[in-house]
Amino acid sequence: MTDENNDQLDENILHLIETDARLTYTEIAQKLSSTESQVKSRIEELIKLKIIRKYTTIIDWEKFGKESYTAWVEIDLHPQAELGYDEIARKIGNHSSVQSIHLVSGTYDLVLVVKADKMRDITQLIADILAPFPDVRDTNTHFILRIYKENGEMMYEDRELLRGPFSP
Amino acid sequence: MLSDRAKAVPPSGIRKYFDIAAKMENVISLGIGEPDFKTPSTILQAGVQSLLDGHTAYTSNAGMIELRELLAENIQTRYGVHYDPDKELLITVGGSEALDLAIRAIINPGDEVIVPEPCFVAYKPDVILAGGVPIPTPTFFHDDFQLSTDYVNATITDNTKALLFSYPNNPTGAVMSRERLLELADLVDKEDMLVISDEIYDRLVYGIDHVCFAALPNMQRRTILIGGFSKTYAMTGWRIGYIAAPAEIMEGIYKIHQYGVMCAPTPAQHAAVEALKHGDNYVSQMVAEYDRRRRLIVDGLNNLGLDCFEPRGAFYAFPSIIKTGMDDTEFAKRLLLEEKVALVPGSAFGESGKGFMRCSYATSYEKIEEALHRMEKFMNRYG
Repeated sequence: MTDENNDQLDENILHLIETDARLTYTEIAQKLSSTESQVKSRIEELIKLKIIRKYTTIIDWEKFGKESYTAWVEIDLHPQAELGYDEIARKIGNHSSVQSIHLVSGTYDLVLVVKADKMRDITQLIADILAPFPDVRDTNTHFILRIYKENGEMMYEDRELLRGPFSP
Repeated sequence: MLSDRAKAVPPSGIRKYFDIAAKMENVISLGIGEPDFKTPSTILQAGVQSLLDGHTAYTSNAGMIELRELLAENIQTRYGVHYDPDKELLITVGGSEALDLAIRAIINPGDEVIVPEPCFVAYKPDVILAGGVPIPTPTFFHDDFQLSTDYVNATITDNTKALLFSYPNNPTGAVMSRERLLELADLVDKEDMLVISDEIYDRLVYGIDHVCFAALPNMQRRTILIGGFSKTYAMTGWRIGYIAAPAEIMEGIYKIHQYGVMCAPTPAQHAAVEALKHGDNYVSQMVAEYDRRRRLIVDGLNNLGLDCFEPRGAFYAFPSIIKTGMDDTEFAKRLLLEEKVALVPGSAFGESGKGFMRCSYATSYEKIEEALHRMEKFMNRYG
């Protein structure tokens, strides 16, 4: 098989497991008219190349009954910051409560997603996270009130199709 | 009290199994002739939004012109047949209304309509209710349930008015090759007949291209084409379909529709507009999933010794159960009571469906796997 074919197969595999990480090699092979062994070897390769970074789960914690709080924190850095964005992001990223860090265009430079069990912990966390960076000029925190959609998944109750046991 | 016509049609053969199955728990039904997918979200949203936007009144009798124009374009693109959205297209209350209109618009008392079997359960009753005489003609397992021109020829009389068929077929999953259809078209032309071609499953084909009957040479002027949104876009409950016919026939169809139902449901028409505009991706995803299940069920049935030809369309497999020595109604009943798998006996779809079972794969892959597993236990006892 040529590299070009592999690229196409890789892309198709990635699209499939991006929406359902639990698909088996057999199921993926069936959907893509490929073979189980080929799919297996491509996925192993994609993991080795760190193109597949991690398999994770989208959990409805609210439904589980566990309270948790998430906030978006926008950060405006002083233009003369001594550290580059990469270095700052690396340091902030060491905090396990920080879910994501994005460098963005617009008024603010970085947007973080920060998660904690209690609302007041988030305020404290933000202070802790930003303490080492005296150049931070401004922050703007948005507490998330309700999640409608997360990573492509609608988070409201998905009703099953209702239909009778027979129809012509 | 009842009219002779109402008395002349039998109750649906599926009904009695419905009653038994409805009282049982943990039944896996492969007896359902409609998609197991929900209407795709953007199509659903378009229907809901139209209501919120105030579109809760009648549309024009023929249906929204925007929808008819999109439909004309769609048929033109897919099959190269041109229909005038003003005079040759009508939006109906599902394929069912389209079928009834087509028959009532052309049938006089005593006119004969040739109906290949096995076929959709409404064909013969609809002909009878219109005062016509349905003339069944068989199709066969050894012929992959394709319609044979010779058999049609043999049933033609002076009273023959039309031929009514559906490919891809419910209940067999059969499709017709272009060669077969061309042979048939020659006969139709020679005998000066009309054709009601129910192509409600036209988009659900696997590894082949659907041939639209109206697209065959000289056939558009003889064809009443029936189509819909139900099967293609998982919209059965919306009740929306269409009919495409030469202007001269459409005049009659239009009148019956106008006096009968006024127009198709307005929100469904708005949803259908969205389906035609942006629905193709959903269709290919659903078709890919049906195809995966199709391969599972056809292989599975053949492995159980229930011989099954390869169905290339719709979402049905149609295995023979002759080897078990049971007739199809007994097989259906025992399988339901003993293993809780619901299938529809082939005889519900006509004489030549006897000895076969309709197995719908419009249900999840996992449920089909489980149904096959239960049927294996059944076949170990009776196979």
